[in-house]
Amino acid sequence: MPDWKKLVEERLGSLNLPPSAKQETLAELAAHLEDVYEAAQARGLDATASLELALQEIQDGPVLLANIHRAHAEEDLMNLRTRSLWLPALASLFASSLFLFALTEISLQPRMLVRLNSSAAHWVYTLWIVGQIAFGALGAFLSRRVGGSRPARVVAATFPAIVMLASCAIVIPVSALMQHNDFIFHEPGRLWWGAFLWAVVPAVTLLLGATPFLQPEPAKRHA
Amino acid sequence: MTAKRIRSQIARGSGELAILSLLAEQPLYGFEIARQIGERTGGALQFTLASLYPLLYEMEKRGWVEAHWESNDAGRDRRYYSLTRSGKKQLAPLREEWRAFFHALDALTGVNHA
Repeated sequence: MPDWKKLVEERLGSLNLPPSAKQETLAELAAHLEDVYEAAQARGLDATASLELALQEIQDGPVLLANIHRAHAEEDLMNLRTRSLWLPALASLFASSLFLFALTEISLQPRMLVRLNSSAAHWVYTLWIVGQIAFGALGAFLSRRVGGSRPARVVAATFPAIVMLASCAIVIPVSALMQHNDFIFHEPGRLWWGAFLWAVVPAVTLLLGATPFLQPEPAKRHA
Repeated sequence: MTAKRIRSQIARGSGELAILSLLAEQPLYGFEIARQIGERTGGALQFTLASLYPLLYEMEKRGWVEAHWESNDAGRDRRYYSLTRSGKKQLAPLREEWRAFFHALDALTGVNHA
């Protein structure tokens, strides 16, 4: 019995679909060829003739490929981008920001200030950094669950750090310029240090949390 | 609109109606859909893999059909398609459109009386 899935893959060439949809499509088309082959044999055709008949179904691979792509076109790809990139990225950013907000609120409680004394800010920062592991995992997990590519999972996981970096690189300098505040231009090292603390370090911990979800998802059951 | 485009749209429209009508009876997988359409139309409508699946995927994208993997009678996993509520709603107007289309064609060409 021929390897139908391999045959379909060879005839179609590059099937540019999300990983789970691609595997499902290949499995389905392979199953169809298998059915055509077996129906031909049941009608009394020999193996060679049956195989030829099955392959006729998929003889114009490029046209089929284009039609499959068109059938899954734009709307699907846009949905996929939203589901696999933007929603997980926003979930990660929201959780990270909420956590920072909660930590800041707690640290302002008088008893917390007494307990943490002057190092409260360090505690807040350290706890927030450790928390990024969970938020990186959340972003990458949500992205992988809907078939997000590895780059999409990385971006979704590190989105809080990307926003922080954009804030340090664009928002702070622009607002300083608009307010005629030249402090950061006289001491750019402070800005770099801020970017390191609030973007680079979180990016590393976010990625750390994302690591288990950067591997391909276990294959689903197919024919 | 070119003649090829018109032919393509007629083929697509008739294909959609044929598939929706079949799936209204029972869930089926791709090969069975093609086989039953060929058999029940006496071979007048034929679907190959290349013409069937892009159409099924489009109908799935529009939410007219939904699919799930299930074992067939031979114990092999096949992707079965069934009509969604939206697909069921499409069926009646599509039938009406085609009926009107053939009436119009008949009035113009008299093909039914040829």
